[in-house]
Amino acid sequence: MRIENHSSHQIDYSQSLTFIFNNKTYKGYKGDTLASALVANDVLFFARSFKYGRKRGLMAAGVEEPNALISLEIGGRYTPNLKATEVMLYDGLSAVSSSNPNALDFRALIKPFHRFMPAGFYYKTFIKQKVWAKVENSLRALSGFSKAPTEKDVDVYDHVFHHAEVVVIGGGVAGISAALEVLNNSKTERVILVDEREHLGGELFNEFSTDDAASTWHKDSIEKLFSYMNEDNSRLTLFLRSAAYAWYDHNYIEVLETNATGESLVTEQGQAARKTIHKIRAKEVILATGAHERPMLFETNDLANIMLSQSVRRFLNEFGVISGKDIVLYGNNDSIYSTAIDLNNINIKCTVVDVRSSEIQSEIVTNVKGLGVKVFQGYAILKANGTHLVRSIELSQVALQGKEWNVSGGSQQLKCDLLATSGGFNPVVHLDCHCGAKTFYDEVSQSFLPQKERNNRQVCGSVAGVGAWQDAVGDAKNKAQLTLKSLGIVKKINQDKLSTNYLNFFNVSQFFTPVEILNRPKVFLDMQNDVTTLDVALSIREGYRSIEHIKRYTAMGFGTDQGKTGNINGIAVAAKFLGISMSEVGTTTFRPAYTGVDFGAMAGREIGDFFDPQRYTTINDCHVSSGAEFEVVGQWYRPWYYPINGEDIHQAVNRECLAARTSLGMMDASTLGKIDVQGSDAREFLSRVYTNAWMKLAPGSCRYGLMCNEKGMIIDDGVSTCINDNHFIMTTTTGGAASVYSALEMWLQTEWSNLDVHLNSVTDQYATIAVVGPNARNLMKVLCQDVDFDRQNFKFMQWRPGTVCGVDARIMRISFSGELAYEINIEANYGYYIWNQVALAGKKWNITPYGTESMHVLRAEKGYIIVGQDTDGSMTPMDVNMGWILAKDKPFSYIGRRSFSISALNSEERFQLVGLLTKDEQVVLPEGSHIIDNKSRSIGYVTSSYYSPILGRSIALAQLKGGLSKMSETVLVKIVQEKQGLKEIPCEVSSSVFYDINGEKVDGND
Amino acid sequence: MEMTSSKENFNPEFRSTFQSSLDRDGLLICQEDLECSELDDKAVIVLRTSKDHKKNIEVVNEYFGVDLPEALCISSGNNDIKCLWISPDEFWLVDNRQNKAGILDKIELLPKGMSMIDNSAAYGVLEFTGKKMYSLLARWMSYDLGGSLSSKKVVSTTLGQAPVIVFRDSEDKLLMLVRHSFSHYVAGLLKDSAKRI
Repeated sequence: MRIENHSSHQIDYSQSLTFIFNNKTYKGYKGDTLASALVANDVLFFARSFKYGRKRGLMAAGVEEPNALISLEIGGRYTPNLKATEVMLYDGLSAVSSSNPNALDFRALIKPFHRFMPAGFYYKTFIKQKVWAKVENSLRALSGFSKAPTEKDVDVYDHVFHHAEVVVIGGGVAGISAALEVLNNSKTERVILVDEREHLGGELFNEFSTDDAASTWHKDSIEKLFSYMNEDNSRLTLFLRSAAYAWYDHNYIEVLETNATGESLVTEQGQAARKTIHKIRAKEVILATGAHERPMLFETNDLANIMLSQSVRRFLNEFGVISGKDIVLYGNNDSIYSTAIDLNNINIKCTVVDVRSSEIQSEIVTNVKGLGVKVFQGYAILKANGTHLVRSIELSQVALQGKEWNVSGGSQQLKCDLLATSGGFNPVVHLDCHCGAKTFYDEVSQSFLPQKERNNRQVCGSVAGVGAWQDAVGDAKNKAQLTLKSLGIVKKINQDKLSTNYLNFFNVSQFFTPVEILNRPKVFLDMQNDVTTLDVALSIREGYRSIEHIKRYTAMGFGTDQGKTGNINGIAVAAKFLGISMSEVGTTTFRPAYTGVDFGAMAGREIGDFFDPQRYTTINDCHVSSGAEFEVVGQWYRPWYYPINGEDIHQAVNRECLAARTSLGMMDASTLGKIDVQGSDAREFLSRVYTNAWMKLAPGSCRYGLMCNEKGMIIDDGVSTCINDNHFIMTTTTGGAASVYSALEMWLQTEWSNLDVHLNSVTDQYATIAVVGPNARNLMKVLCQDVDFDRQNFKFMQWRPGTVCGVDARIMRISFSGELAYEINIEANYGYYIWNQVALAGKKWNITPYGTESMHVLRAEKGYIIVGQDTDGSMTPMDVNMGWILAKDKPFSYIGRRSFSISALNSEERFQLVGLLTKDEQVVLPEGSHIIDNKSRSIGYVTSSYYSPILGRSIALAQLKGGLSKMSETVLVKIVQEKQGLKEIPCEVSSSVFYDINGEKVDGND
Repeated sequence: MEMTSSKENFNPEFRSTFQSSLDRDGLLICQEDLECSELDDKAVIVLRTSKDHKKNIEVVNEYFGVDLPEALCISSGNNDIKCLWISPDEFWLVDNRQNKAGILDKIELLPKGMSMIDNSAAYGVLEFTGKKMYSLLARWMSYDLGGSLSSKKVVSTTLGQAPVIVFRDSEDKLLMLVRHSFSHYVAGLLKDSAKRI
């Protein structure tokens, strides 16, 4: 219910909001979380538990909440498994429970059998895979988590990088104090302050009603912080509603920010991302992440309206809501008395049950007694009663003898409708441990604290075990001073001495784990996974000793809350059953993410067109306007084919190939890698990286080269051009450009640093247009008149400088089709213009642009390999029938040469490149199909396969074991045909050259 | 159709790197406190130096009128030619295109161990101005532009997955060199992110 006229600190009562939860409409206010708004509307059941389907209510008020899992929105805005305590309310919000507590649940029907489903039930029952395969889907459907989204997320998510000298994580008293101390004592240092809540202040809001000093300190501090924020070029960056969920090495921290409304805002004017991941690199980190309260243990402690004491306070003080009128506060520390005072202030009846003996008489205990609140000291709750909702509790006297708790006397019942417990506080050490920091167990606070010394990091406030807010201010200043010293800003530091007079929640009693309670059923440790104390006991009986193993056997600490409230109690229970100390048990490993992170947020904007760079040539606009279909080669978008008049790919490719073979084709070859090689040792360098000879290649000439790695395997090929004796331009395959450049630089810098050679990537510098076909020479004569294109004066594998339509060009006479062909290389800025000029001038010969598919057909007809398609990293030049390209008498060896003397590489049984001709000329073999022997064993595979329009039949290249000695033999290729299934296709092994075997076409017809 | 290749008879269309991404005013981004435009008149010449550092300094100073910068720095010379430190033996000369031929003429004069290559067409140059330029670039760039890239500094880094060179020409202006083939990708990233600035 909402407390009328309550001065809650987060709620704007002037802004009413309407929302839907589990198909019912409710009202809330701006500033509410979904959880607080539901509490205000007397909704007590939020979801069902994961394993047993038990109805569950709220336990906590923040990120540590284990029960209140919901799915937000539907369709493209659907987000599963959010905590209702973390979802800020907005108008029109729609949510459902991850597992509806009000619907009939199959798991509720098997309630009598829960005792037969302890930890390890699923492992043991379904250990046989066949059984598991049958039940997996059904069981998963029963789990208490939300269903995975099925539609594309329509929200916008973003990533932003940040750098700061100091990052303060946590916006409570300690975080605010630390940030101010750094800002006040530095001039240029950048500070980032991160907090997961809507407002700075943390738990301090709980003190406002009883401590004027707290509210005054808060007001002054926030004003000071905002004065820094409002400065020009502010040094302070503030992230609210932002959870720091991972801390990696070198102080790299990731923070997930949810925007103010929880929605994406997309308008014509701009956008706001629904969630943003901030990637922060900091020199120093101050951790002020506070502490989470842990519950007390007793039977059926999972009933709805059994909550954490400080969470009840937070719901009351920040949101003005409470879910009961007759409240019992139960715990082992003074914090429950603070809650009692707050409840008393709004005239809500409460009773305190304190396991500590009546000998403890702190000031706050006395004050609460003075208010007339009934206090049971030296009592413990053994059991909570109620069907789904707590209705009463059973009390019994307890006493601490040494380190053991004794339960004595009979029990008495006490009615209540809300039970708030506090079993102490767990410092939020998660982030600190993400990158390797250790914890130590502190007997005084009964908690695991972060290790004290660590480079470039300080911890302050509750996370460091400082319980009073006044002390947290001093502690934070001290730690900030150490940070300033580490930054070299201050040399001498003043350390405030902390008082011991303030109320300190960390003064707790011994963990309350008497066996009389631990051995009862339904004492839940992990609410989300229904792990009980008996499950831990069972795991120990079955031989598990490490807490990591116990965790995995019981599933304790799994799920979206990652055991924030339950794990430390679980460790205490394990310690009890193992008979060792908490320190000896230790903690499980803390790993990112501290809290749930949406997949959408992880992806950010690296989706769709931004998932991988799309690289285009400067001629791309021409291809688009020609209606080209594209294929991705590496990251390049290359024209695949140019359909006209509704052609399919086969019709278009046939037309394009025939045009290139009979008249004139043109192709954008700009994507080929180009490496500028300069220096007096350039020739020597080429000789070392290619298998053939380069020392005598004359300026004005080009040469094909094959590049191998040191194992003798082909890694790339291409044509290199001799500009002058000290200058060459090497081309590489499109996909291999970066790796070849990198490999060559590696050789130059590590092995051949004495060579005078410089490499520069010039792939993007030049646009390259290939004109191909019998009329190529005629066209070039029109395009360029300062070059003599006579076949005798401009021979195959030569290049000439010239002017093409007014643009300086390098014209190479090289061919990847076997036809007469020229490649025009111009500055990339003129690529678009020259392509259009070539197309215009070529109309006379019906010039036809062709794409990569036709290029593949044309080169396959000639038996030219494509590295990476016809080779697979395990092919030598001999394997592809190119032994002719291995130089025999180079003065210096070349990469891979030594390996060619290995007998295995010269075996006749190696896979060798051959041609395949199907007996049925119209059958085109699928690439990748296996060639089989008479026992159906694979003896090779098809690497390239096309229909050749010029030959009027299919052709294929293949790697066949001992293929070169199997010419004219018939082999079988196993293929899968639609409808007909597997089929064996007889093929004749042939030369890999299918067309123009004597190479007569390359000079053209004239 | 008869054509001639003499340069005088042609008016070749020069298309800048980001031409297809610019708006009618020639801007990539134009909004409050943030502007991004292309400088399409820049030449980029790659200069590779020898192991003789002293000689390198002499040659660069004599031929190009600039000091050879030390690590991660830029130096400027006459006519505003800029020399960018890229790696220990690689420097980029950035100048107006009209001066390109004059620079490239020096190739023949370079001593053994030094080389030069024109890469002007390979790179587009973007200029960023306005208070929000860091916010924009921080969407895709992990480098600490605000803290580490002080005036006259240069860095080779990435914008998203695209390799780029960024340098601070003056206090309130950043220049970014982008490979032509990545320009469509880079322009897309910048325009998309600008919507959320």
